[in-house]
Amino acid sequence: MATRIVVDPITRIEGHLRIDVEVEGGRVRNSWASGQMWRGIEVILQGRDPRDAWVITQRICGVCTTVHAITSVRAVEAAMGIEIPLNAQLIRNLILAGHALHDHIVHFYHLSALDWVDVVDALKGDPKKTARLAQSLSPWPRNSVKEFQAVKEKLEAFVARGQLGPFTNGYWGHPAMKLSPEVNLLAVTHYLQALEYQRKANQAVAILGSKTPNIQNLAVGGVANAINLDDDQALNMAKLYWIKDLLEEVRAFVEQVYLVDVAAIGAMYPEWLGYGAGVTNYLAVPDMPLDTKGTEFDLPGGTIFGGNLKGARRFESFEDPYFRDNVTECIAHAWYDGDWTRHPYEEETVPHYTDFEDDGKYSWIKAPRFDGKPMQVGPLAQVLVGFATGHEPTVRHLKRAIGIASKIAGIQVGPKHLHSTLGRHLARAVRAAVIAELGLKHWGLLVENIGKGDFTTFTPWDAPAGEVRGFGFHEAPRGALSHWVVIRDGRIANYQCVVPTTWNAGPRDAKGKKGPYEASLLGNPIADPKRPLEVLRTVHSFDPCLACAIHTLDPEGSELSKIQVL
Amino acid sequence: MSKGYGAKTRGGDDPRPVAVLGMGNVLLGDDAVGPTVVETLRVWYELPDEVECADIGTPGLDLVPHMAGRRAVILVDAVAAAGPPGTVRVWDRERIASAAVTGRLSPHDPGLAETLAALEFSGEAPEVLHVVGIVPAETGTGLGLSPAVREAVPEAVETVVRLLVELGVPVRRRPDPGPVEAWWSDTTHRGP
Repeated sequence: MATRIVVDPITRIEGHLRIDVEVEGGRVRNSWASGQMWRGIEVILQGRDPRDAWVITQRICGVCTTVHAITSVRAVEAAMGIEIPLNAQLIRNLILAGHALHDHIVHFYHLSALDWVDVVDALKGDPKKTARLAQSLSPWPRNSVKEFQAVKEKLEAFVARGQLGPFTNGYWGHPAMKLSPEVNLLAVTHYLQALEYQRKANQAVAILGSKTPNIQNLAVGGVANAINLDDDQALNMAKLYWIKDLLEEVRAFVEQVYLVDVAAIGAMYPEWLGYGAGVTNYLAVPDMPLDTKGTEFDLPGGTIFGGNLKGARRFESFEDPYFRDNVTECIAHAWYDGDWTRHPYEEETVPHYTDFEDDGKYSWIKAPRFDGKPMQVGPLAQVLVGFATGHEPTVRHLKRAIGIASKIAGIQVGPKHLHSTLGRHLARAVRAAVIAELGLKHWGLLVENIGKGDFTTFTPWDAPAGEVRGFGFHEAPRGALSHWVVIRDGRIANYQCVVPTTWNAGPRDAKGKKGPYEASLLGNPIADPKRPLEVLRTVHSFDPCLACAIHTLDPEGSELSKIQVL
Repeated sequence: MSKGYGAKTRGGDDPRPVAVLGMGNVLLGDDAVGPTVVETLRVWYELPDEVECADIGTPGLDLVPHMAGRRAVILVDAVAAAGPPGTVRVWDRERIASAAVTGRLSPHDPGLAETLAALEFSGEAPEVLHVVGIVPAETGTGLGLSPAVREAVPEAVETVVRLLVELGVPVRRRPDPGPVEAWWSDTTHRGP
């Protein structure tokens, strides 16, 4: 008979996600993903001035502020028919590159590495052996005996004080933990270094956005940054070079540490290159536009169905009807009133809570579909589309990562292994390397354009009368994000956000087809039902973020995550 | 070269030694109280250059750059604690750190406890940390504070001021403060 395990909430993510799995013979046989908090923040936008939408939408989530802001101005600009200046496009690209780098580094080292790394075991690591191993993998100058020794001493002091600091609540000594003490020490050391580099990436965003979180420099029609190379208050040469320094430092960390660590740790868990595929339909949107209209992009986007890379189809522009006409959301199994599948322009958001019904409604998350099919979004989707369409930087960084992993694993790792739990981590590191490179390229394009004497950052515009509609998309750190707006006589009549975690964490649709989280858990091993580390591994690999809901501090320290074995 | 520009940016290792940070999602009713208290403080009081005063939303682990290397941090937030709506309470670092070990501060980690623990491990935790908490009444989707929490804002502001004075930070009440203009309570806001 099947054992049911309820993990509520999943920890080390933003927001409230409940996962139920039925386990039989040590494997997951059935699964449900349930968003436990109502969003519906779109309702606040109705009747408002569309120029305010980005200020409000960037507050939906405390972690993904920048991505909602950028997507919102793109949506309103599309509705209004506004073409923004090249400088504005490139400044936005630098912001989204900085944000993505920050987000990917945090996700791997601070939110998910502890699923794979046994911190307590790192105390047994020999700093000399660790340095030898690290130096054989990477030229990173901070892979020194001294550095590893210092971290080991720090960790010993922590444990001696009876605390594990940030590593409390880990699954230490779990039978599914397999790294050597040296690799564990290496990972803990890079955890600390990653704290520094994620901040450098964030700082680049803060210089341009004047504040993070919640950047302040956007506007429908461009950006509010004044460019004046001799003015302290404006975007000047000193600030531009400061941004370049930061991006270069982060790029070195990504190429020499993050990508290497993911490939190495991945290679030491080769079985996880076989679990966790789930939905192999992929959706990514193009980003880092190179022109004012949004018809040429440095990051490709498109669709792949059934894992068939040869059949990949690209999205060609910000207005591509292939994207516009194929997105729907279904509420058959979500806590909203009715039972419909609708295009975002036609949706409504009326809550209707039942209870957790296995065969009925069980989540606050709607189920997005593309051409009626569930789609996996995120770095893996983007890297696969890039690989399938011959995007040179993606192919190059992917080959490097695969080369490192193959050498350590002693097996030939290939693109087919990417459809997996660890494949998602590997793809995220590859994407970070691509974005780090492109960020510096776009920095060069911006400086070149300014050098031509173009200081324009904003296109003035007038709101048209009557009804207009538009959509904007952005390939956010967690995948394809789109905002859809209907504007009537200068006011918002409808606004819908179709967010990456909705694509991935959504429930079954009207046809009973599972969403990507649900499908990815099927077949996963579960060694110990009371400590379902394997569930966390697969769910965390998507980089879940449901923080678009309430957060309230609870200083009385109530118990956090409950795991029930029924 | 970066130090000279720090004061002009926020969110990226601001060099000012003291921070007052308002946390909370301004779209969720009383969860906006942290950001509202910070905006009110800024309007009512003149603060010296050594103090950063910022509304930081719900940053999760992105709290790291706001806390790292500071001498003192005062966080203002809605709290799930005993007492009727509008109750203002203060917790210190020891209480927060012990909660980090036994359970977690926030039901939606990672957040404050996680950030603090990571910074203790890296050796960059602030020397002094206070949480000024306000018990909310309503945290459903919507703009604006409930009456009980709106009435508690002056008490929370004065609590922050008292803590700043204890830290030796000179603060001065403005003789003629203007209105507090937070866009989440002012629906006429426009972008540039």
